[in-house]
Amino acid sequence: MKPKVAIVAAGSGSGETGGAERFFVGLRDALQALDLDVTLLYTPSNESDFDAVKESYLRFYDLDLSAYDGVITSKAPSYLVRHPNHVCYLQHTMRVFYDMFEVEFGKGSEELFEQRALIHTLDTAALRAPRTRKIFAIGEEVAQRLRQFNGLDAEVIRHPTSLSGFREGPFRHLFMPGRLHRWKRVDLAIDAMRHVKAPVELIISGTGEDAERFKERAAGDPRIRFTGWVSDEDLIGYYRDSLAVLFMPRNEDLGLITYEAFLSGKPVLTCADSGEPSRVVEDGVTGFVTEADPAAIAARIDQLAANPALAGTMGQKGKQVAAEVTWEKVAVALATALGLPFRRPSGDAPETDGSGADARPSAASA
Amino acid sequence: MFWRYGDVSELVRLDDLDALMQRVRADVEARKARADARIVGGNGAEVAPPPLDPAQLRYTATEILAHYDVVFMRAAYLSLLGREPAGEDAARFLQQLRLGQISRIDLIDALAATDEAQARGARISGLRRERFLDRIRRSRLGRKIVALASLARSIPRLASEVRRLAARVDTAERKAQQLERRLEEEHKAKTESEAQFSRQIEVLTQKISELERHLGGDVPSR
Repeated sequence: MKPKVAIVAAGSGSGETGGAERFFVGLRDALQALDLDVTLLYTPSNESDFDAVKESYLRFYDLDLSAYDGVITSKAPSYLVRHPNHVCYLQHTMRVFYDMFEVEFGKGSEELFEQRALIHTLDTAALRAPRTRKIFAIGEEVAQRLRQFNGLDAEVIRHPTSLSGFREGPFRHLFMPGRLHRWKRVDLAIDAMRHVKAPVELIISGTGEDAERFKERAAGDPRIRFTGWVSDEDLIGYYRDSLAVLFMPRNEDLGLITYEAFLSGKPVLTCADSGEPSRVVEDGVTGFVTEADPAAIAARIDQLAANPALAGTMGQKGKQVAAEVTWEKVAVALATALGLPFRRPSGDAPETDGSGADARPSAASA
Repeated sequence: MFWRYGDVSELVRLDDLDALMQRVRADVEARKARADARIVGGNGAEVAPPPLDPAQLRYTATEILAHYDVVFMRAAYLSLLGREPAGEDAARFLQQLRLGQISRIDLIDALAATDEAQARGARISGLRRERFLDRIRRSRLGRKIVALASLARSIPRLASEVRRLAARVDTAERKAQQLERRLEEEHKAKTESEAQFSRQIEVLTQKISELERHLGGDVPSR
């Protein structure tokens, strides 16, 4: 009988299909390809206020997962689950209580500091062994944050995008996809365009709570165009025809946009404080990593606009980088950490963690 | 290492997740109980200190009417009946208050008319004036005055909204003009290209004619 694995996903409950949902589906498919019996359990998580946050923490803590041989969690607060064979592939904690605390709350208040301390305490207690056998992080940014705030170590294993069908095309416009949220710093790209001399258009796709603010900031510059929400097909089209992809968020956890650009054979312009993209993009090789300064970004844009061949070379090198990141690697690492026997799509014999024995503890002992 | 959870006297080990979650559970359940208490109109659960001292027998209408919703219910019950609101009557009153079927003055009058209130003998001064104002507020003229006052309060907000919309219209107009200019330029460029192509075709046609003439009209047809 195949080992039963539950992926516990913290969902918004809105039913929308976004990046988070794609992540879970990609993970599930990769684990199923290893001949595991995988169930994706969506459990709602509400972060609208602190009472709702506490209720969400409790909801995951109370889940009965005894029917499974292994449990994989990812986003906060799903890792509050209680299971003897639990591994966390950490996407992120509630960042508003971590690195984004000051960005959102400024100097904060005594109440907010207490809330933050409680979240840190709960997260640390839940993620510490033996409650969590092993922590993987989707990027060095997440691992570093975990080390800094929670004193816990995680093994970094990046995952690919679950979007497929990327194609290469001409080098026409600058493209900036993603959520229109202040953390994504679309305004930085808009400001950079004021310094760009080349007659190149910036296409910004996506929606978000700060859309109007960004549009007002871009008003008067005919080279900047907002498309709003776009279908996957159109998204791939915009990637295909781009000169370069701009991706300059603040402290991004992973940023699949980088890999999507690479898979389309395009270079990525990012910033030194953008988090994981600044580690994935090799400056001058697969794109440019500049300071978060409009003039510096504009100089790189002009450089690429004057030399599309350079953009092509960088894009090809990026494509090689993206090819190294696979869901199979993620699934094998997680299955191994869970100590469950699995079978690679190409292999014949079942594999385990190398100890030769089924290392999974019994759920009944929970 | 310990965590000071809410009360100074309660210390929980930082790594004791079960103990921490017990405290979280207690918080969540207490909040739900408070929410339930608000809905049913009181089941003995203390939501906050009493809004006024039930040991007295003299109150002013202003101090009772300073509160709203559940807190007002408690103030009315504690002053007139000397007890917390409870039972079906309290739940019904709260519901009627929330639906706007009765006013707070109506509720005070209803409670004051009960045998329980008569027996307690508490007195509320200033009720006649508040009753008069309540009547005006609920009259057609009163509602119009309230609506006008509310409108007057919202004028600065409306003005700001209009300014914002005007700015957006302005931006849209500028963008439309820019697009129009671009279209015109592209159209002009297209017309020029077409004229250039026509000229080139003319030149080439002439050259072909000259070549045909030069070859004595002996050009093989395709």
